[in-house]
Amino acid sequence: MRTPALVCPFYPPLILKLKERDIAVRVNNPGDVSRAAETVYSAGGVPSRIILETNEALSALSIPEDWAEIPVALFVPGTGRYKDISNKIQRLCDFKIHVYLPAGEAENLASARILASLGITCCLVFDERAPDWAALSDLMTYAIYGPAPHAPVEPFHYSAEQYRPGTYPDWGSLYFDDPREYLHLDSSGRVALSRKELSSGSFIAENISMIRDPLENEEYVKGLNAWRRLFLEEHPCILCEGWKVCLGRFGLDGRHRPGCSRFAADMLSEIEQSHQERLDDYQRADVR
Amino acid sequence: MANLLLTTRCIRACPYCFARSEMAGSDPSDILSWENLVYVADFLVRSNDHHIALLGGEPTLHPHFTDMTLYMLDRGFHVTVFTSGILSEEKLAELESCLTGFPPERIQFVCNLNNPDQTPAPEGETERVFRFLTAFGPWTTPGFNIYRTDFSLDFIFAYITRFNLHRQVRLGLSSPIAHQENLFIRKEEMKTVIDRLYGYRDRFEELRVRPSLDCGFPLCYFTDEQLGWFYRLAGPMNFGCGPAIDIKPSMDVYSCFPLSNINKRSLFEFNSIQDVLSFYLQLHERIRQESPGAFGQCVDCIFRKEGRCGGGGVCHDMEGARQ
Repeated sequence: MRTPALVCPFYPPLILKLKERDIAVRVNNPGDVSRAAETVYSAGGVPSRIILETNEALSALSIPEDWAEIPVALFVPGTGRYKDISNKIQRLCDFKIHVYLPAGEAENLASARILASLGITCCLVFDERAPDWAALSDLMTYAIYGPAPHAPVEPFHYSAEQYRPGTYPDWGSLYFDDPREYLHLDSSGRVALSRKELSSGSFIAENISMIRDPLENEEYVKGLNAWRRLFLEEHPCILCEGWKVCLGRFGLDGRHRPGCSRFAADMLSEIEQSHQERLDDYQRADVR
Repeated sequence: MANLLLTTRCIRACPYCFARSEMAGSDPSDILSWENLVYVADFLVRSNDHHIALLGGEPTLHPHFTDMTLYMLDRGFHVTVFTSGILSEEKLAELESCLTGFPPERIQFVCNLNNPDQTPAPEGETERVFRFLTAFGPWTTPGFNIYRTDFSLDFIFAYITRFNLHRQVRLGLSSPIAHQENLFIRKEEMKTVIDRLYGYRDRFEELRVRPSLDCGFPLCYFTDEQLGWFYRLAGPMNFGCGPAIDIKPSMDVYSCFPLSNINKRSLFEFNSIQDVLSFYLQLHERIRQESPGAFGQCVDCIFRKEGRCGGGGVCHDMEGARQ
């Protein structure tokens, strides 16, 4: 098993202690992006992502030259008007920046399509606001079947790429929310399985050195299998057609919400079709 | 190059407008969505076509006109905007700050100009056009639609000099609309129009302005002397009539404004712009075969058979059939 990367706040004394680890650092100030990356390098680590969460629209942010080599997850509430981001498009394309947009804001679905069509990877964030499921479905079709080359629109691209019949591709890692890929640390180094558990003070270890092999940690293993609880509880999600591609993530806190089930079922159907088409293409190529 | 309508609203009410029936039948709230813009951009990229014309109605009335134009430029398209040049001061300032950084090879405007004496404009309109031409002269080709035989081009020559416009005039003939009434140059008036145009040859030469003939001019109505003069000044001319390909905000597509009432389809039915062209070329061919031609001499005309002349255009064939 790959050692999970560590997600931590921008607190240099903590980061400098995490020697030679893959580290994702959360920052709120755009000016901290390069400082955070430098701190990780100073600790002998590799910045897996610098996660910038800001209330400013993309149009209000400047994308400085020194972000060129830094993988940045840019969480913004929206893009603002296109005319105000047009001069940033080249850097957004050339740099390792993924733009995260709340799916509950109708304009963001159009913005994700615009950015992806220009070659910029976008991730939709599902929060308490329900998205316009019909518009989301249209975007999902674009993400999977778009007729011209475009950058990924997540979580659709990941789900389609990872899909195999009989498997359950979990796209939580795109959002740093999958303990197989990421563990979360607070500023004192305590370890949680997710950001939500970090916020609620539910830790699995007092520091990361206590988790040499995560699979030997009972709490960690329990966390990995948490989704199975839904089956024991006979949660409505387990009867949903789209469970395989949703794993409860389109709902709110594991609850169904109107429209999510139909959307997830459509998504699964499109992904299955796309998978089959790719298999057919391979077979045709083999025959030739 | 496909024409994409950003909006079906227009600020003007030109007496010759051949888009009027199509515009009147459209919902004024029908404006291009971002989703459809991205679809069209992808569609053209897949068709290996990197030119697009943005029009309307008046395209600048779209609330995201500047944004959408920048997007198409960022996608690598060469953009031509067909406009009346009548813009609010805020919109003009926005356009100036966003678009004047692009060279005229990437973006150009075709500003459709009416003669202020022959087609009077409401108060203040001409001043707005002047403000636009002052800002975007070097990016602008003047366009003029001929709908009467006593037309005058003097004002165009004056504008070209005053606003440093492209040394080219796009000359259109107002065309009949299939199954509709509108003002247009009738076939018996063609010769007069061509002679009057030729009458401006000294002004064209003096200012080195190239006349660019839009569709509808029949080859046989020009004398050899006139053809020689046009060729010497403007190079080879095209007298054919082919589909322009207009795409509405709803993604309805048709051959051109005058034929907008015939065989309207959805862009979603096609895989490439070549498919769309092929579909409407077949339509043109069918209409031509069913019509003897707009002009008497079209029946046996070798240039029409060879496709070197559209006989005034398919819309004239339709008008002939209607009469």
